[in-house]
Parts: sequence; C-alpha cells; structure tokens
Amino acid sequence: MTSPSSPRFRLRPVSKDCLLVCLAFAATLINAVPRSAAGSAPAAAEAPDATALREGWRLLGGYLPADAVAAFSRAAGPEAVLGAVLADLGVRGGTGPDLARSRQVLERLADGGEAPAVAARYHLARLHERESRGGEDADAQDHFRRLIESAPASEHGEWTRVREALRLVYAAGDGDLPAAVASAERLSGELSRTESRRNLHLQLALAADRFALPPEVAHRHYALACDLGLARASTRAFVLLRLGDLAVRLDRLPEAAARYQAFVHEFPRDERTPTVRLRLAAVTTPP
Amino acid sequence: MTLPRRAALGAAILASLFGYAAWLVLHRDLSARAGSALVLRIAHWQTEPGPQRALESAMRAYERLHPGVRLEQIAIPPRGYPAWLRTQLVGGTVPDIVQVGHNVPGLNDLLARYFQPLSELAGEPNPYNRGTPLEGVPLRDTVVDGMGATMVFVQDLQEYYSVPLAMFTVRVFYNRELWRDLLGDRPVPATYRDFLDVCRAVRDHAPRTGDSILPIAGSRTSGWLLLNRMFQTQTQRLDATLSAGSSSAPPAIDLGIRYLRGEWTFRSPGPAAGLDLMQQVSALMQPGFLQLEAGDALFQFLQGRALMILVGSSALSALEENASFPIGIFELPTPEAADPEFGREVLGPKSEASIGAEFPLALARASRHPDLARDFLQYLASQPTNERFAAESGWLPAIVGARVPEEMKPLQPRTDGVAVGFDTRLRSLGPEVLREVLTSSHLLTGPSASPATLAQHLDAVMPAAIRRDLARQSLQRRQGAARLDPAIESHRRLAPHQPASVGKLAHLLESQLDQECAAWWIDRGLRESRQTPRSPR
Repeated sequence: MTSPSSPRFRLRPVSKDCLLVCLAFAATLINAVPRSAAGSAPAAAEAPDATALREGWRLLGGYLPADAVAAFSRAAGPEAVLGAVLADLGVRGGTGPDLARSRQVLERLADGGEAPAVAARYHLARLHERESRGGEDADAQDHFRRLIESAPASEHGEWTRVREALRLVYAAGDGDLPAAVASAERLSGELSRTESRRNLHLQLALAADRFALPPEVAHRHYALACDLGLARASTRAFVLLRLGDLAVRLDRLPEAAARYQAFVHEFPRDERTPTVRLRLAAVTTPP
Repeated sequence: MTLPRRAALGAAILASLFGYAAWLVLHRDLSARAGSALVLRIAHWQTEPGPQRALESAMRAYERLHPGVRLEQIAIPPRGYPAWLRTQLVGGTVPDIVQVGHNVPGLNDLLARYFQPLSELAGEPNPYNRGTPLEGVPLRDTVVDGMGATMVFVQDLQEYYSVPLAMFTVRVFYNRELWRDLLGDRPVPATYRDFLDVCRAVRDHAPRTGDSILPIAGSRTSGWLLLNRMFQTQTQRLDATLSAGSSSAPPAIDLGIRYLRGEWTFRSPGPAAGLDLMQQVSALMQPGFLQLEAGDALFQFLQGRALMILVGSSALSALEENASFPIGIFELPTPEAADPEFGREVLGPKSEASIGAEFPLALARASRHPDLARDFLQYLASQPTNERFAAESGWLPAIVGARVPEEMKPLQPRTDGVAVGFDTRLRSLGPEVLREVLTSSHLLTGPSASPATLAQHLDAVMPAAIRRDLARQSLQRRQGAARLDPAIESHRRLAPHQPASVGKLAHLLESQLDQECAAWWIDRGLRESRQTPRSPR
C-alpha cells in the first residue's frame, strides 16, 4: 500500500506550479462566474478590483500568464474571468481538455451580454480555430459571423471583418479573386480605426504581390498603408522598397527616387542598401 | 582486523570527499550571502580561451567601477548547454545573465516564461557611452544591426530579449608557413580561378614530394558551408527572376510554393550550375569529408595536413591559441560575373551587410539583482568596453564605431556586394528539405558523383519534402499568431490607460495578421499543388 508521503505522491516543482495555477483559476471562477451568470447586481464590496485587473492584464501583456492568473484571481467580475481564461491558455499552451474547459467559460461570458461578451466571443472563435489546427471550422465561422453582426464597429468586430475579408481573398479560386479583392477594398471605407485600415491595406498589397495582380493595385495599397504609418521598422523598410520598385514599373521615376532615398536614409545598414543605391542612381540618372 | 581498518579508511575517504563536495556547494551560496558583495553570474557556451579572457577582463573592470559587486562566469560546453539551461530554468537556479541561441529547443517559450523583456532598456541611452559619439543614443541604435537579430528581437513576442556583443563572418584561414613552403610569395587568391589554381598547385605538390597536403580541410559543417556558399552564387539570377524586379529576394515559403508550381527546379540553369560548382569544389577537400566532425577538420588543419579551412570568424582565438604556425585570413573567392564557366548566373559578390549581431545575453526573471544585471549588460554593450572585448576575444565588435584591431580587419563584413541567392536548404525552409539534401550527398562526391543525377534525384524527392515543410511552416505561423492573442487582448485593455500599450498593440496586430496571411498563402499553395500536377520548366 502506498502512503501519501511515499515518492509517488511527492509533487515535483512543475506539478506545484500547475496546482497553484489551477487553484488560482478555480478561485477566479468561484469568485466571478456564478454571480455574473446569475445576472445579479454585484454588491459594492464585490465590485471588480480595477487595480488587480490592470495588474493582471499588465502581467499577461508581459508574457507572465501564471502570475496573471494569480492577479485575476484577486478580482471579481466577467473581465477577471476573461483574463483568467486567456492567462490559463497561456500557461497550458492549449491542450484538448483545457481548451474544452476554457471554451465553456468563454461561451458563458459571450452569451452573458456583459461588457467583455464581444471579446469573449472573439476568443471563443479563435479557440475553435486553434482546435481545428488550420482546417475550416464551422463553429469558429459561426462565432465570427455573430460577432460581426452584433458588434461590427467594436474593436474586435472591425478586426474580425478585416481578417475575414483577407481570409476570403486567400480562399478564393482564381475566378473569384477579383471579387474577393474588391470586397476587401470596399471594407476599408467602412472601418473607423486606423489600425484596422492600415493592416487591411498592408495585407491587400502583399496579397496583390503574391497573386501577381497589376502593379497599380499593390502600389495603391502599400501607399495607403505607408500613409497611415506602419508599426514595425522592418515592415516600413519593406514597404518603402516595394513602393520604389512598383513606382519604377509604373514609370513614376520621381516617386521611385523619393522612396529609395527614404529607404537609404532610414536604413543605411540594411543589406539591401547597396542594391537600392544602384537603383536610385538608375532612376535619377537622365537617359 | 584488516577489514574493519580498511572499511574505516574507506569511510573516512568517503566522508572527506562528501565534506569537500558539500563545502564547495555551500561555499558559493554562503559567500554570495556573506558580507555585502552582490554576486552576478553569467553563463555561456564559449569554451574558447579568447572570449572567456575578454569577458573576465570586462568583469574585473566592472568590479573596480562598482566596489561590492562580484561577477562570475560559467562556461558550459555547447553540447550540454541546452539541457543544462533548461534544468537551471526549471529549478530556479539559473544564473542572472545567460547566453541564448537557436541551439536551445523551444527558445521562444523559454524566453517568454523565464526571461525579462529588455525593450525598455533597448530604447534608453546607454549611460556607459557618456563622452563617446554614441552619448544619448538609444541602446538599440548603438548596435550595428539595430538589435534586429532573431535572438535579440523576438518577432513572435515583439519584444527585445537580449543584448548582443559580437559579430561573426565566415572566412578562409590558412597556414602561412605552409603557404610559403608550397606557394612561395604567391598572394592570396582574389578570384575563384586564382583559388582553384592555388588548390591545384597544392594537390600537385603531393605526387612530386610524397608529402600529402590537402588544399582545404573539410567536414560536414565546414564542407556544407563551403558548398552552399558556392551554390548561392549560382541562384542569384533565378532569385532576381522569381522576385520580379523586387529589391527583396523571395522568402523561403515563396521559394517552396513556386517550386511546387513548377516555376523552377534543380535542373533549371541556376541550380544546375550550382550543383556543378559544388561538385568541382568538393573535389578540393578530402574524400569522405561529409562524414567528418568539425573537430576532425580543425585537427587536420592544426596538424599542418591541410593548407586552408573555411570556418566562422569566432574560431580565430582558438586557432591562434592552438596553432604552432602563423595564421592568415582571406575572404572566400566565389565565381564572379566574368567567370567563363560559372559567371552566367552571377550578379555580384556576396554582401555581408545583413550579418546580425550575435553572442546575445539575456536576463533571467529569476535574477536576484535585475537592476545590476541590466547595468552590467549596458556596460558590456558600451562602445569602449565592446572595443576592448573585441580586441581580447578576437570577435568583431557589435557596437557602432567600436574600432576593429588591424589584424582582424580581414574578418570585417563586406558591405558593398549584392544579396546572394538561395542555398540548397531553400533559405532554411525546414528539416525535410535539409534531410533530403544531406542524404543525397553521395551523389555529389565520390566515384558515383554526378550533378545531373543529383538534380534529377532532388527533383524526385523534393516535392514531398517541400510540402511537409510548408505544412509545418503554416502550422507554426498559426500557433505563433494564436500565442499573441492574450498579449493583444491585454494591450487592448491597457491602451486607454498607458500610452506604451498603444504602440505595442500596433506591433502585435501587424505581426499577428502577417503570420496568419502567410499561413493562408501557404495553405493555398499546398491546395493548388495537390490539384494541379507539377510541370517543371
């Protein structure tokens, strides 16, 4: 007979970590889910602890999911539950049973109608996608559709519309491609956030390059993305080069020179700079 | 009575050994706690004498600047380093500062979990650059590549995680004494034809004198390095064609997708010439070189049985330390556009401007003295310290403006060339492609060698290998994108309260959508390749 103190029952450090995370996660659920699910107005003493929530998000944003779970367990309310679910996914990396449990919690939140319902539906759809490992997932599509219908102008709603438009471009057959691209282009006018528009244009430009669409299409979208301001320096370097190259193809030499000059000035140590200098000389030298 | 006495003696030896071991273990801990000394430990896998000496010297100089601080370095042999590091991380006993690298499996996960992001540090001016031209410049802009190397700025996490201190190039190292004996005053080769002549002269020397000297010592590491360098010269034109006038070469996934579409094959003019060139060069190394370890080739070179060896510049200090002869260095000459046999596919000499800064040092979350560790990293990455570190280690400096000692000038990267084409690994598309290339090497060297047969063989096995690697790339991109979800949600919620989150969110969203679109592009390519049979051109 094995006693509890026998080596079989000794917890290794990793197991202890897991246990702590489980306890903290359970505490969050006990704290928050029953109240929010029941729809009862939280008492003043039970109001979400804004400091703990912010600390939880800060830790999760800093890739410390285990610490974030503990922080969220100190707060109550649906936002704390959402944070705890996402942090828990971060800790476990998303294996089968964990995903099922997280999905259940997110479903309750998404159907609860409270503040993070939109975010919960978005992450629920993402979770379904994750489980499908890249295949088409009907549940994910259903949640994305419901999200777009219910909150099209929300942050998650806009981002989902951008994603869906691009997904359809890549899923389109050769015959449907122009319509899919046109539909994604129309979407730009309906988006209110710079972030969504910038990323839509950037990815449409890349898609135009990949599908070898006329250079005007790629050029237009790269230019729009560039005007809206690109987030990463590496992306800006790439976009400046593409704008220069496409301007050459479109015979807009002054623009090509300006783009190449900007690249050489901003990225003097890039490996492509010597080649770009040659291209710059070629477009600025009279024939 | 003899037995108990013997047993007692044995027990006494055992006890004293145990006591000594216990003292060793406790001593480190107690001395760290005793007194006011703050102990900072740095772990790395550099077992060569040069870098260890250079780090030791920087540590002692820092201790003089900061009385009460003690620094220790721990050098773990490279083969055991990944397992050692993982154990230390999980056990919570990891040193404050550790070298990180691609040899550690699952590094991105480890970085996120066990290391501190250094993005804030990267954006701050380095106080140890006061009085230098880099005063007031953010740390990341003081590093030659803007801290853009993969182990330094982690794309998946959109954070800086380490500070790099050195740069490495690949050069031909040669035995000056042997060179003089075999070739007299002949200068080092400037062109590929000169290089071939030198190698032939060395080979011809053996039958005349009975003294068997190899032109180049090869191994599976240095041999493939040499062969791939040559192959890349022959894919420059194809790369330019595939990129359709773009200044950027097609990335690995595009190379794979376009191969599956039949837009190029290993029998296309560029790759076919590359395989011919590889066969020509492989004959300059010893038979069976692809079966040898890097150490075997190094041994042959140090023994004076080979005139040259192609290795990374990081080997300089080890070579100088162990060789009984003076060492010379030159850049590997590759075929130029004017070469009568291999010039047609060449656009220009290889640019090394993209070489990133390496020897990345990361800060452990478990560090007891994180502020001190950050300060020491800034000290190491300052221009004056990096200059001294370079001179003592034999490694090129990674900090802008740090002087390179005269004898190391031939190691400096060439910045005036053009980008090279892809290599046989298709820009590291994945393990399946690599495996097929390695297992086909018998068709490259030896009696049955035939570049045409090799090209045919590669075209038979590569479609399946490329499909598997592309599928893996797609999955990795999806997983990478999904991993960003929690951080994106966090910064969405923090953005109204802290301005830093606005920029961070923009970075993460751009990176996530980029990965997802790349995955969709790969999936489309795989779908198409299944529907349409490949028609090689």
